[in-house]
Amino acid sequence: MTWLTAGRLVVSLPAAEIANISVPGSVMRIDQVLGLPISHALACALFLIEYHCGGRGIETVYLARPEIFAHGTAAAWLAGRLGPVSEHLCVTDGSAVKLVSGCRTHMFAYRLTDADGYAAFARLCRRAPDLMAQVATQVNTRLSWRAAGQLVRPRSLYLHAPEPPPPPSAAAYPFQFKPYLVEETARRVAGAAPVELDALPRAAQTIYVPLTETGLANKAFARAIARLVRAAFAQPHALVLLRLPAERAGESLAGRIGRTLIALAASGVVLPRNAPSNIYFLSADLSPETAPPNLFITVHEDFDFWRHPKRFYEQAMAVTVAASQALRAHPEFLPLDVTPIYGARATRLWLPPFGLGGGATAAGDAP
Amino acid sequence: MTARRRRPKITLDVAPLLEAQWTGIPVFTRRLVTALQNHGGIEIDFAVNLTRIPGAAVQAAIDSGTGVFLQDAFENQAHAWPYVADPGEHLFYPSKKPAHGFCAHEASTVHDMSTLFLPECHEAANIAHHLDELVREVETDEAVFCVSEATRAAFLAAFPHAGARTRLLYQYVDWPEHYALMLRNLPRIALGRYAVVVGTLEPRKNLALIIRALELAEIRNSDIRFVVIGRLGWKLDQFLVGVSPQARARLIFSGFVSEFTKYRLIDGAEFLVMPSIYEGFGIPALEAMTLGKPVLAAMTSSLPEVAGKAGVYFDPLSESDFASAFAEISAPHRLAELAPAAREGARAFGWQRMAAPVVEWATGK
Repeated sequence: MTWLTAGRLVVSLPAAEIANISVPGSVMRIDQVLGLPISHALACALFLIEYHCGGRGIETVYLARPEIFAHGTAAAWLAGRLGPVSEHLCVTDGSAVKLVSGCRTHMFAYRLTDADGYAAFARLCRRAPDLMAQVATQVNTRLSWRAAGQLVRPRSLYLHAPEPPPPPSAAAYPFQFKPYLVEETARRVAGAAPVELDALPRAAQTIYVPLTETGLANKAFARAIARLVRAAFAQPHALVLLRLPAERAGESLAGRIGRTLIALAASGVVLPRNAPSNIYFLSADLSPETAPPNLFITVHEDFDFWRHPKRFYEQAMAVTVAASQALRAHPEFLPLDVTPIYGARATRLWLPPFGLGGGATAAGDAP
Repeated sequence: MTARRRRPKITLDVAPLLEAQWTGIPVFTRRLVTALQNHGGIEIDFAVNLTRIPGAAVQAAIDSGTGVFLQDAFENQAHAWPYVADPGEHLFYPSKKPAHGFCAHEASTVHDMSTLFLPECHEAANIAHHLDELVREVETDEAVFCVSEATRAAFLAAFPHAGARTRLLYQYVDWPEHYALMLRNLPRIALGRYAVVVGTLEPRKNLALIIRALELAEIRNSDIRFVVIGRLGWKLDQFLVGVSPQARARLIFSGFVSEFTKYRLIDGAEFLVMPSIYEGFGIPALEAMTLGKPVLAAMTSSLPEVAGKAGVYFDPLSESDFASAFAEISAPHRLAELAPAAREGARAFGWQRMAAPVVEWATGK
């Protein structure tokens, strides 16, 4: 990867994050970008880029709107401000991939665990396949799409940072499940006094499941998580922490809880209605500092692993990375070995297709 | 006896002219019809969605400056009108194609690629309308007309294989001749020194930049006010929150005005401001230039291409850059330098230049 070994890299920012705020100009330094009110996910992505470029002596320059400098005088004006640069990393939320005149394009889709972002990306691949075919490298994703009848799969590059920006402080909310009263239940849970992480019951093992919107949309994964939750009802020595999927624009905590409950209900797994004392929703990520001992992490394949430092996974007893069994026969799409990403304690969990073998008709599940 | 050689013919889809109020693409379509009629080198048939429209009905709409009657005729009489029956003819769309692959020679027009590259500025339905069929539309186009080099570059970023089929289609400004006479009979507008900002108030027009910059010294200490022409609306109140009364007094919102009032306001202005984040062409810049007005323009997309030497440019995301450029263009000596460049630049965009590429396509060049 040329852009990670030498020279100068221009990094373009996702427009949706900066469209309604005042920025110091089209071309910015990293300190100027990090001073803007951007999302934690974007801050983590930029931190990651800076960490890797800084370690290799690569100078970075940030660009707010590459699309407006596509031609002629405007392109020359930009080139004058950017200086000599031949590599462009487009940080995208999935809605657009942009090019910089004269540069090779790489892509960091930092928000594809949001259903809207993923859907937007799928539409983009369909609507502009030849544009997408120009992506040379993808950072921390393993996406593929079709262009002119050909499968396009830019080379994946996996990056970790030792200390990404700390997540917002997390609070825990006791789990309740009433599938016929989802909204009311979600409101009640969100309205209850949160439990500080320090005050959570001490447990022989803590199972941490950072949920994503796209992970929950995978019914086989939702079923696996619902079963994990059900098992915890009978195992009071285990503590289950379900980190809620990222909030949508303007969404409340109750909304995030409601979406999670709906996904668990749709899995068909029957869950007790009583309030367990060892299962909680988490409003934000755990960090290496806040994680309890004896941690077991379960994530969906699409999880944005790079938002945690590698030592977070290394301090866990085990990391389980769930993926659809159908992909097992296609290592070109999905690497079978997850240790390069999650460390030595990581293993795969192959999820059977929903509705086939081990599906909703298993003993104890709703018909 | 020698047989008279028939002129080449195109069928021009005039669906945009069915709009009641003509701005943007309907005006572009009207100008194209007029340019081709002036040229005279090709015969023109008219259609809407593959249904032929009588030329007299189109001409009547152009003469009256509205599509109200044409739309009424289309809805009530089109069942008796013929359809485009010859798959061998040249079918030209001044905007996107509603149907594709019907004729052997189809062409469409790309006005900008903002739905692809600036989706955050559009509603999802609008994006789907423009992009869902675009791949098929481009595949079936013999020619793709782009309204500026910047738009062509954006289009080719998404469709690099279509390069050989793209052509430029610059539009022009055609103020009615009687406007100048009407203006002479009216007193000068009593607004003092002002600059005009033309365009619907939507996010990518970037009016927020001007509002944020009002408190900067270069603008605060100037005697120039801003007259904003265009429909009010989009989050304007939100942008004005926190603006001091003194700064707020520098802004005058005219709302939607008639073409003549726009002409009069531009004519009385010191210069035009185009702070847009993105433009496919930027017709207000050309309108101002035809009246000898320089342009304080964002360094973006097509604006330098249109305004050329009549422009003073700034980074559309930098308030301080805007303020510096404002200070430069406000100086009387700079305005005097730029005015001739504005008129000279405007002369480069005429009906001949708009008609030529379409005629060339229709004649197989």
